[in-house]
Amino acid sequence: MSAIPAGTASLREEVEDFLYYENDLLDRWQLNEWYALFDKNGMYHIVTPGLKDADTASPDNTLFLVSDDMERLAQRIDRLSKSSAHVEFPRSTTSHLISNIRVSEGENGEVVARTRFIIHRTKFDETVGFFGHQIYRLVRGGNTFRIRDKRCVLDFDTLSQQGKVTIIL
Amino acid sequence: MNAPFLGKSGLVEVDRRRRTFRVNRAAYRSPEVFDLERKMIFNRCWLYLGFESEIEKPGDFVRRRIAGRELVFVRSRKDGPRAFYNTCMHRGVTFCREREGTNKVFTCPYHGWVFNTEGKLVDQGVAGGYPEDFNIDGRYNLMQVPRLENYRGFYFINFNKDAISLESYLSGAREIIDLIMDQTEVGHTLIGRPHEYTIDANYKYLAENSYDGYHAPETHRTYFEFLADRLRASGGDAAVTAMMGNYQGGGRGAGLGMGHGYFEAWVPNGKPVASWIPPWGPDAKAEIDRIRDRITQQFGPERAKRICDHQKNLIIFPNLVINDHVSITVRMFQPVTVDTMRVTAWAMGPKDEHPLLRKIRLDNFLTFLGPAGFATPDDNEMLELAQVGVEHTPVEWSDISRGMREDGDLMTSAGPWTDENQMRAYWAQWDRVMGGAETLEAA
Repeated sequence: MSAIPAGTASLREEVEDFLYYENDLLDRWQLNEWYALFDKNGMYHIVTPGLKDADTASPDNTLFLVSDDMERLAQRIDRLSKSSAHVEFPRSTTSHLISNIRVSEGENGEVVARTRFIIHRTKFDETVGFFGHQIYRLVRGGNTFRIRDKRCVLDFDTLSQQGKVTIIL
Repeated sequence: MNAPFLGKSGLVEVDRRRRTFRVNRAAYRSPEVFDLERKMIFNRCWLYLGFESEIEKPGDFVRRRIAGRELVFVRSRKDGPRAFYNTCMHRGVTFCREREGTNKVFTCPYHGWVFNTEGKLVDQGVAGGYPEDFNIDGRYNLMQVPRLENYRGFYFINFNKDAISLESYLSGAREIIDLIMDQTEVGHTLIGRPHEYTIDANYKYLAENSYDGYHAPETHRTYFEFLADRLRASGGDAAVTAMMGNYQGGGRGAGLGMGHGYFEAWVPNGKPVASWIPPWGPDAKAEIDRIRDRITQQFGPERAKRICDHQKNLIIFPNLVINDHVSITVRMFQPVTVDTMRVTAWAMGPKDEHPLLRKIRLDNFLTFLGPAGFATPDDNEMLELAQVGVEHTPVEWSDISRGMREDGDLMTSAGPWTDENQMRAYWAQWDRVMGGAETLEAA
């Protein structure tokens, strides 16, 4: 990302409002409402920690942690709603913080937002942290945005501290 | 003869008359047992180190920690793969700090000792100070792990120079490895970065879990619901019924000798090599048909069926899983402490795989298997809950009796995949090796 285009400040504020809302839904476990923020061709990705070229790598030819299209994402949410999703029963408590938000115009009228995130997950008195950066590709939909792609890049080498990623980042 | 007896380790109890097989929970929770395992098991068994495709070219290397020891697995520029201890012969520094790469030499960052890829000391930094014959006996060359052998590209090490050959050690597991490796004529490769994570449980819990056909309907209820939805969409209710019927005795589990074991069953959700399902589309079908024809011609219809239509979950004693599902998974688990293990899970597939099938392979791998998938996290949760349970209660024994019979060799018994023969085979070997009855040395 190079120069800051004119009008970016107000665009950034709009994007910030949207992303704060999105993250708030996650902390409230309102996953169906969160799902509704996606474009019908939306994708949700988590890159395998330590992968080179994580910002641009493709799940078609290298191993990701998560690569959900809207159908798979619906199934993920459906699974998380069940008490038989043992790893999230009882459900963990999460705290999503995002910062360092920068926006730019992407291709085909998309808005690209880069963020940094710190997410804590607590279950059975144990808290682990997930941190890194996210790249959102957003499209305008009415007076708000739709998520076309949310890519989460964990900025550490392995899940040696966290063990697993069972919450939505 | 039929009286219950404790094995050589004192921690495994076999009661043929009552048809029970029990493991003392000290095996999962005792630091003393853990220390003894280091000595009796990890210093004597063949341990997985890496796969041939990781060090394809001369000078290629990977760093790896095996049984608590830092190693470098390198393809030497002169004569093939070597395994060195990652410690400078001068003052001990872990000289190799990169995870992987290609080197002409390894230079210790402390005083600048330089070793070539055969481990030979070729330079000592600042000139002078040493006699010419300083390393005449080679004592300052990198130390190699005593044994390094491979079977079909899987490289294993042994810290005991007198150990039996890898081939003897692998015993009946070789047949299953063959079935997996025979999928391709050009060889397999590891794809991308592995999933690496920690499970807060004794490592043997993951061995048990990895070929446990019994736990699947309960632990993975949500995964089967997900799978059923997908199958119903393409194959109707009949496809779902067939899948679930598979879990009522459709597969076979067995010990393979030397503590190894596996299960094998029909795979309902397809395999890129080579069993097509409708959701993958006509392009994938053409490619899969082509692969299947080749395998059938090469190996005949019976063996082709096992290669193409069956899933296999294989455990190589004590800490390697090779699973052949929609993707091949190579999963190494290293004990860190009595109640913690480090897991490294690679996706494996044919080197020359069609991009479409590669995509299907990877997609299915992360759906089920990853630490963010629909199934593995629930497994890990069960293992961690088990660890908490055994550590924080005085209950003495765990039960592994399902399908136990009054007779038969525990090391090679077979039965439905929902039985626990394969686990008893593991524990029977664990007991013999821990108790010193099996030294794994050549006679």
